[in-house]
Amino acid sequence: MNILSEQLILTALKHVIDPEIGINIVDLGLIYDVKLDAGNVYIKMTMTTPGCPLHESIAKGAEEAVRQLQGIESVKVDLVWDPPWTPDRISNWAKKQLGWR
Amino acid sequence: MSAPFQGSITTPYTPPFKVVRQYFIIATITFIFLNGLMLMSSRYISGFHFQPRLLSFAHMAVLGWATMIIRGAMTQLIPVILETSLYSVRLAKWGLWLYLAAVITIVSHFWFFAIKGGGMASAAGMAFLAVIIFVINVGLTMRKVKSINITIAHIIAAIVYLTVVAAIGLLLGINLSIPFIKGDHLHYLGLHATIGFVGWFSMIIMGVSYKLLPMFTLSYTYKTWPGWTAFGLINLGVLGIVVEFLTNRPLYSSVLIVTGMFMFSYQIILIMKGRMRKALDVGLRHAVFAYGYIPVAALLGGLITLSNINPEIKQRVILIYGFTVLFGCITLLIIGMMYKIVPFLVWFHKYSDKVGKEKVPMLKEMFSERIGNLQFWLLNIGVPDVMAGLFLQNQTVVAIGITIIFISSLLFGYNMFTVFTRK
Repeated sequence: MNILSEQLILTALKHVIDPEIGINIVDLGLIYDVKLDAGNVYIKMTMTTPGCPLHESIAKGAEEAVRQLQGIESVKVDLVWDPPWTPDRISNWAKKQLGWR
Repeated sequence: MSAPFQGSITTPYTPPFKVVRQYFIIATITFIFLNGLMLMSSRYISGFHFQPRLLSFAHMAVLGWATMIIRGAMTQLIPVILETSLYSVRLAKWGLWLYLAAVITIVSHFWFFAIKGGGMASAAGMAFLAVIIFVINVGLTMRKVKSINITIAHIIAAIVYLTVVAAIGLLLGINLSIPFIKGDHLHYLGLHATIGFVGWFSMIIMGVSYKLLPMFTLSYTYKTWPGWTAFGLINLGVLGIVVEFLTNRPLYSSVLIVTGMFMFSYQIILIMKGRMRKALDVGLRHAVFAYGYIPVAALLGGLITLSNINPEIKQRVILIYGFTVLFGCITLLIIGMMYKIVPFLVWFHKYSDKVGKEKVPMLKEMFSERIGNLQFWLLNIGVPDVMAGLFLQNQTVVAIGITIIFISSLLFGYNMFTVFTRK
């Protein structure tokens, strides 16, 4: 049940797209952790660059996207810089979108 | 409703949209106006560089276009680069109007070569004051920085050079009104231009590039020693130029600067090689071409300072060099970065709180990429065309090139207008 719901949260997070790169935050590998506890959601995420000017909107966007799911009581988004994001976290699909062959 | 996880998102250093927008709009209008004026007076873009219309064009380009954009962009980028908020938004806001008044006065005084009376001296004084306001604002913001990285080192050097350039400009402005400098005015003008181009512009361009290029291309696995080497060589070179100026002894400092510029190019190659984002959008294509013009400008600079070419040819090369730096390196990079920064600014202002709730546009959808591409190619046809025309001393070729650049500037202005007026 929890696994499926966490999967659902990740699906919701895929609707949050980095407007500069054009890739969703899950495939960019920005989501470090998603926890669900009786309707309370905890998301640990990062940005590609510390001080990224989009960090506020993307983090808030993540919160809003999850909040729209049915049965959600609260959402906490933790923006962390450690461990720093690395390009290895980008999914294969996203790599293709970025022009990798 | 239970809420075990609260208070999550860190406070951002939100950029002051209205202030930055003013800088960008004024600079874009200046750029189009400059190109229109150059088109109407293209016959003046030849011959000896110390002539009223050329000095007017050059100051409109460096002050009204390039430095205006950089001042606005720094207000926007300080939170990104330094990860702290700007010391004073009010200084950025009011500094703009003083700076604009100074630019208009300087440019119009050069245009009419109105050196009698204190007009030129007051204009240079206003510009100096406006620069000091900017330097104080950036300097006091820097106080909050805990550690120095490559970008911050470049910005510190850049604002030091900007202060020196403005101070020499002030002395030259006073000297034109009330001659007091013993020796050749042009000798000081050379120092003013060199520190402006090699000190202020190259340091700010390089520093900001080291932050923005990896961010936009998703490049994180490159070595930074070429960048640091370039920083050391260029600063040593500028210092050498100052010593040469003071002692009148040739130290061949330009060799250090030219080598430094090539090290910068190598650093850019490393960043581009390591990028995850292979496809380049219109903004990044501009930037890449701008970086390509840097070694060209460096070689031209080396040719001017190190070789014993015929004085008449040298004069042509000086013009080509100045044009290449202003339109090849600086303008291309500024336009490229504006295609990245301006859509973001407007997007942030209009759509930031809609993310996750409704579909929001991508940044590249905020303007016409087709027009951007056309504008890019026109600019890259126009710039080499003018360079060739200046070398051949063919006014028709120069005029054709400037017409192409003017059309390109109109297309760029249209794209910026589309972004700024987006509903």
